[in-house]
Parts: sequence; C-alpha cells; structure tokens
Amino acid sequence: MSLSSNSSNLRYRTKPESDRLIEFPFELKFTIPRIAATGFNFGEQVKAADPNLWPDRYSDETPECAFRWLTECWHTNDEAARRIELVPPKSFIEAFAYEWVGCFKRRQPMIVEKSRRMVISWAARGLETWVCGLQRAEWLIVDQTHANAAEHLWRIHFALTELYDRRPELKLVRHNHRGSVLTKEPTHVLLPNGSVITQLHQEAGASQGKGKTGITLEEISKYRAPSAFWNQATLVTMGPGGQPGGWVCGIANADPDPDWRAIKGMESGRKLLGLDV
Amino acid sequence: MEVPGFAAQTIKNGTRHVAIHYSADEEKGPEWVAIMKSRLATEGFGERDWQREMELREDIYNGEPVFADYVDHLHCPKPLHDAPIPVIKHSQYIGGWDCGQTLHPAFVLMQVTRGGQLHAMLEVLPPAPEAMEAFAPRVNQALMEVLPTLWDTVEHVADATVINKSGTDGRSAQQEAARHGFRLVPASNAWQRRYSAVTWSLADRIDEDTPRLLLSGQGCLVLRAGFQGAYKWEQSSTSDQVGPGRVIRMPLKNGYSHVQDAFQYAVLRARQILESVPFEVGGLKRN
Repeated sequence: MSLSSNSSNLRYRTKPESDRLIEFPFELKFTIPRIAATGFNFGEQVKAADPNLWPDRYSDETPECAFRWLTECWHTNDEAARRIELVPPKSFIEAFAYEWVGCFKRRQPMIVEKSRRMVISWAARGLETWVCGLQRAEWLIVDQTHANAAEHLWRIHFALTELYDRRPELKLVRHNHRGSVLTKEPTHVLLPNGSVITQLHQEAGASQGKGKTGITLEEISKYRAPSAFWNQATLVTMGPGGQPGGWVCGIANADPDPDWRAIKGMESGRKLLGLDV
Repeated sequence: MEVPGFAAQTIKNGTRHVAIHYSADEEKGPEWVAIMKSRLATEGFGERDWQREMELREDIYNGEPVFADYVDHLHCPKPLHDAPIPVIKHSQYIGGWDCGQTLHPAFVLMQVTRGGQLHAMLEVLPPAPEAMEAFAPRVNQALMEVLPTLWDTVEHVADATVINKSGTDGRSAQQEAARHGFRLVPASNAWQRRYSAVTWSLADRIDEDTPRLLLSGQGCLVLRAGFQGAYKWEQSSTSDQVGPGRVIRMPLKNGYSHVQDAFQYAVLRARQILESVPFEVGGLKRN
C-alpha cells in the first residue's frame, strides 16, 4: 500500500501497480500512516485467520468428532429436573450425529421426526454450533413463535457459557450475542470466527436473500404452512451453479397435517420404525 | 448402525427421513412411560397428545374432536382405507350439501342400505374457492361416475341458507343447483339436531359386530380426517364471556368443517328415513 496526501485528502493506492485511487473525505494524515506502518490490513488478516475455533479433538468434520463434541462439550439444561448435564453418550445420539453430519456434508435435506424428551433439539443446537465453529457460517433457526425461536439461541448461549466455565483448558474465545439472554430472547449468537447464528419465527415473513449455510426448521409440522417454509428454506440455501450451497433440516413431532406429510413424501415415522405392522 | 427405535431412509424426493422413537433410549422403558404419562397428564398432556407426540401417531389431531364416538378401525376398517364402498342393490341415496352463502361448498354422497346401514361413499370438494355455478357440474360429474345408472335417484338435502338469494345476481344456490338438475331441499340448521344425528350414527350398532356407519377412506379422505380429530371444538383464548383457554361447544370452522356440515345434513335425512321405514335386520358387515 502506498500513501500520498494533499492539503485536504489522503490518497492511497491499494496496490502499487494499480492506478485506482480511493479518496477519503476527511483528513487521516496522522492515523493512517501509523496503522500502515504496523502493516495491519483488515482484509488480509481475516483471510489469513483460521476459522476453526475448536481444539483438534473436535475439529474434523466427521460424525465421530461431532459425537465427541456433543458428549464431552455440550451441556443441556433440564429445568424441570434442575439438572445440567452433557448430552448422554447413547447409541441413538451417535446415530443421530452420524445422520446429521452425513446429510450436512452431502447437503441432503433432512427431516427428523421424533418423540419428545430425547434431547434431539439440544443435540441439533450443539451440532449447528460445532459446524459454525469449524468454518465461517451463517445459520438460521426457525420456530413457531419468537419466544420459541429465541430459546434455541439461548440454549446455544447457555451451552457455550457452560463449556467456557467447565473446560477452561480448551482456552476458547468467548462468543458474543445480541438481544437479551436474561429473558431468553437473544436474536443473534456471534462466534469469534465471524459465524452468525440467528433466529426467525413463522410470523416474521419469508426470509429473503441467499447464502445461508444452514437452516433448521424446528417444530415444522406445526407451522401454518410447512411446505412454504420448507421451500423458501431450500431456496435461500441454494448455492451458485456447481457449488454445494447450504443445507435444510426440519425437526418435528408427528402431526397429521397433510402439508407437512407431503414434505416427507407421505412417509410415516412409525412405519419406518416398524411400529405399524 | 442398528439402533432399536431409530431408523432412517432416503425418500423419493431425495430427503433423508430420520425417525426417533423414545424406545431408542434404553432408559425409557414401561416404568418411565407410566411415570411420564401421569406427570404430563397434570400439565394437560393427555393420551391423544401422548400418542401423537411420543408414539409418532400421525392420525391424531391436536385439540378435542367434535365426534369422540368415531372409531377409525370400526367406521373405516382396513379394507375400506383405499377402496370404494360398493353400490348395493335396493339402497337409497342421499346427497348432503353445504353450499349456501359460501365459496367453500361441500357434498357427501350417502348410501342407505335396506339393512339400515349408512355408507359415506364419496365427498366432493372444490380444489379452490368455487361458486355454485362451477360446483354443481363438478358434483354432477362425480355422481355419474359413482352411480352411472342411479345418479338421478339421489335425494338432495342442503343447509337452510341454500334458499337465500345472493346480493349480486339475486339467485339462490338452490336455484343455481336446479339449473344443473339438482333439487335441493333445505334441512334444519339446528346444531343440536345435527350433532345428535351424527353421534347416533357413530354410536349405534346394527348388531354386535356391525356399525351403523361406514365410510370409504378412499372416497371420503377429508371427512375421515375430520372424524379423526381435524374437525374439532373451537378454542376460545380471548373471549371474556367464555374465559381464556376454555373449550366452547361449537365446531371450529376450518378446511374440514364444510364436508362435515354436508355429512350432517345427509345423516339427518338418513335418520328420518330409517325411523319412518322398517328396515331389514343386518347390513353390510365389516371385515
């Protein structure tokens, strides 16, 4: 970077060989040379930084690593039982992590139809956070209401805070958040690598734009128009030609709503499990 | 990885479908189920909620169904899930219409056998809001397909508002139907009479093994879903008169209510017929 100045403006060349000049509207004569002297360049700095936040034990994008992350780092809060504990190292959690990571890597849409009280939503928050810590990502979590959607982000805030406190040896850089965590209404969770996890609810209108790494549709079977949300989520995660784009995951309980059932090809969870002979 | 209570498959549209039942957790045995059921019951999470949200049952709707006497395996037994009800000789036919002052008309065809059994054979619903001018020909076509030689023997009953004249062209739904060959007779709109008639058709038995009412799952998809719980009591969460969150005793108007209304008019008429004419004992027995 080379600098030149006149009485009112500072000019600098972004590249020595470039003729393009950027004009600043105010005097920066004293500050810019000092910053320039340190060799600091914001663009280069971000580009050079490793976006992976996690220690080696959790830093491979594999189901094994995901399962380790959940069962060694991700704390759940059972308010009814007043119990804070790690996601249990059970075989169904391992199977869930295996399916989740596989689908995410393949960018294959995934629908999870589950019984309540299986800590699946907690585990899904853990996996989303884990992926967002491995790379710079933008993740959107949708639920029926603002309160429900915000609680998912609060769970992420809670679990990360527990992790910093209980595993100081990991030397993790703390996350940031927007919105109130005291009232369980955070709107954003910001990870130190630039990843953003945010929330939306079904009344908030369609999510426009593109470039989302992942969208999780919690309780999708109970939305007023499940297929509208599913299709919109598919649209905003669509990548440019030839590139994988983002991923959509729906998590729900069984429901007779025909619009919801159409998303999963009218397939029944009970039939899949062999419960209906 | 084989885990009981956990299964995954890739479905036709390419989506991965993962199902997780609580039995995937080995700690959640019968004892846990009993404790959870009793604990959740105190929070208003009843057996129907348990069946849907814990047992992954897809045929149970949220809320309180209007007709709790409906028993799916009795009134729509397995052989009728994907099959039409056959035309039975010497039966009478009733067409129930909900078509007055609405753009969401509905029609139900009922067969009343000589044995006194009621068969909901067919429902007709428009795919989008539709005026009587378009709906009546749609019903005509459906009737000709199901009853090719008997369609003109069907007795038609409709809601009382069928005689109300439309403000735009001064014609009633009844007049519009007449243009297409249907003579619609207005039936009572009184809710208690309709409720009582349908409850009778569901609760009554011809003999120990034979229900009074059978419906075709293939021909009456929406009607069946309504009986399964989609046709439910309206919840009032804001009314000061009723009290927040209380159940009020009127059915919720939704996508399932119109065909239920049409069915109710048909049952009202069927009951009149059965109570006035002696019928043979025994009807179409369920398999």
